[in-house]
Amino acid sequence: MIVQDTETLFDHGSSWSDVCVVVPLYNYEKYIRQTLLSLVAQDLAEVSLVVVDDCSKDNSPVVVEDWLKSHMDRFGKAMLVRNVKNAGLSITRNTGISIAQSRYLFFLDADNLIYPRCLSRHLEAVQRNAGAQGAYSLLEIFDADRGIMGTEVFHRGRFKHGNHIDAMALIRRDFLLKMEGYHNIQFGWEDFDLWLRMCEAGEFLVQIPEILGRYRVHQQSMLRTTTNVGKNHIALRENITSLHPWLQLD
Amino acid sequence: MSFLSEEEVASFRSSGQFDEEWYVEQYPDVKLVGMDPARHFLWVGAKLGRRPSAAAAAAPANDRDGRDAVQADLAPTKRRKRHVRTTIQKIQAASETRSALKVLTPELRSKIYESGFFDEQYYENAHGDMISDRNDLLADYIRASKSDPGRDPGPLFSTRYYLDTHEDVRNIHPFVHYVQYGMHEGRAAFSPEKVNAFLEGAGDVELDSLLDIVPRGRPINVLYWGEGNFFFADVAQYLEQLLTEQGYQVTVRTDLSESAHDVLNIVVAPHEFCALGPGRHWTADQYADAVYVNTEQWQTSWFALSLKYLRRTHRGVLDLNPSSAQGLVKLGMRTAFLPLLPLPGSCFDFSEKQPLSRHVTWHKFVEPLCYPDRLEERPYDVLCCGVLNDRRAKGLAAMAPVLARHRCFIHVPRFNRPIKPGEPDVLSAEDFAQIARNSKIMLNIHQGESHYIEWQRAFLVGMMQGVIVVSEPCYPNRYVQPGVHYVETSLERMGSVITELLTTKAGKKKMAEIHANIMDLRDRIRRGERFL
Repeated sequence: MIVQDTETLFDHGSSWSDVCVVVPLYNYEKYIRQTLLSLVAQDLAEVSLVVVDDCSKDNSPVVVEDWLKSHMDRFGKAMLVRNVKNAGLSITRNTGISIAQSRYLFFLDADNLIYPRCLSRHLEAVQRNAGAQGAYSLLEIFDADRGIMGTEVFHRGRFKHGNHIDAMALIRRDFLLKMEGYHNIQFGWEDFDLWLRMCEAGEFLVQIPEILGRYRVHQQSMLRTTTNVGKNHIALRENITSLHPWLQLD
Repeated sequence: MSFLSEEEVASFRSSGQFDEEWYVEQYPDVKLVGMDPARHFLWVGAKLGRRPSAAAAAAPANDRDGRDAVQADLAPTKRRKRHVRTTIQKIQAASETRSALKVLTPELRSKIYESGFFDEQYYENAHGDMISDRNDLLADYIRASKSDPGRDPGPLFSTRYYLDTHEDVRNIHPFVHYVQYGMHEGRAAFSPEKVNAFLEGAGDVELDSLLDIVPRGRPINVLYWGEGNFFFADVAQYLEQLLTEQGYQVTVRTDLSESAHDVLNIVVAPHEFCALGPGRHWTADQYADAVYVNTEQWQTSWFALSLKYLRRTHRGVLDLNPSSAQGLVKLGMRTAFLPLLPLPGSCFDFSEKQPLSRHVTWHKFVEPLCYPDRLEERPYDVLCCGVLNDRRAKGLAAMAPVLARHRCFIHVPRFNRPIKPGEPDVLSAEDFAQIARNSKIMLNIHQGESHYIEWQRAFLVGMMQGVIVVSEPCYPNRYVQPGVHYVETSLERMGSVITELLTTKAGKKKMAEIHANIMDLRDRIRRGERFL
């Protein structure tokens, strides 16, 4: 698993709980406080937290450090680390995977939010479905757009029509290590690539048929969708099908 | 020019608005053409901006009514001119109507009237003042709707919707296209708004009884297309059971190789059996002598395809939806409601406790189903099942903060690809019903603007499993009522209604009342109530 060297900016506590939330952070000083607050409101008693800053150019790490100072008691273990150099999303998530010692890792991007029952329901789902390597729920799309995603189950046939499952999921850590974490995929789609490798390994995530998280769509990403994403999209598709030849995308 | 009758020309000539002498002198080419001057004016003169008389010429050519107030002294001239213009417009419209008449051959006219989609009374009421030819309303519609697609021939066909939906319909009048081709191709022609208005206004219509439409004394074939939608096979078997119970002699079949005259055919889903299946080879008499079971919603192309068979029967139609049945009666067809009920032992009886299919419990995190007697002990707070579209997605997103607080089973795949039964994202009715029996509330969010009560979902898998259906407003029907058998609310208020029902004393009381009512209804059905 490719990871990045880090420096530790904040470290609190020593006991890793069953669930650790891994937050990759890059230039989201505007959103990160609200994201972390949604962790405080969780009904799961014990939660750990690892925030990995990927050399943000804004004040993101300072904001997190300040926030942690006043909220660290909510977490048995909470860490803020910074990559020694910018490494991209996959490697930043992998860095989180390697640092967090919890049995289950929940991936939360720094601009998204979760509802109070999110972590407890994910934990329940994964504990009661021994065959699954993790769990994901339906997500509410908010901010610049409104809708629902994650409405279909994890299965090979469905992935042929594109990715329908976001990275916001709870996954067994030992399994992630075995899979060597996220691969660095040009232009993104590293989560899609992980799901496809899971299919190839005969593994899956179980779907929780509830809306437990909120996925932010930014105004800029809405604009990008209609303008310059086209070329990248073709390259992405070519890249992903060359990595997973069984996948004949429609 | 040949479209102007002698009477029209004569009437214009003698109207006092046309000065023949002045006109010929003013426009010498008229003489050269050798045409009757009045006819010339009506045919081409007016279009060229020529004046019919010296008085008309004295008025400014481009005056507008708005100027009348400041040029009061010119008013009499203007009034006269306006009068002339109106007369000319009327005569020109009449001329265009004649061009529409050219399209309307006697064959086409009879096809249109046979289709039932041109409704003179509707047309007259809807377009009253705008009609220029009251003697031939059909021609008036064909002419006027060319430039004004807001005009419709009747309460269902939507000129604009048809043009918008079918881009290939360009060089032919949309309504003519529909009657000649579109109807037989099963093209969608009724906009959801028009269907809505039509069915909403059908709430008081009296339905026929199934027992009247299906005469006793003849053996019955219930027919469906063996290669079609598997749901229709269920409907056929259900109908067999229902009719057998009522003393009929019934056989379910998928072919008709040995049709006998003394047998009555009941066709389930004619858009499959007659349009695609063995019914393709039927004679006109066979079509007329059959009873049809309509299974489709009105705004769909399947319904459009069904309709041409429904119209052929001399016997009558059975409809799976009470509002749709009333609408068919309103269209002039003998129609009865065919209620799908949880008849003991039928495919719609979900009373037996069954484990969920393996693919459901494998792919989804499911609560243990415990079938408690008391509503408040059911493990799921909210159940929502349906195909996701943007309307439903936005509705669910708006109530997400509420749903996130409760134990839910939200099954809303977005099927923007072909789906086969058995796919992991397809939830069978049996599985759906088992979860409903373990849920307190079930949401019914309409797919579009049509306000059908989706009988199979809301009644059969919903109410009959004791779950409290919280639905957007539905067309009224006499079998189940909001406030008694289910809860009605707008999509905007659905989230707060869920909160109220699940968390307040009054809400819990309301749920208990409704639960008792639907359980009572279910018991009555078990004891023999058939809604017939």
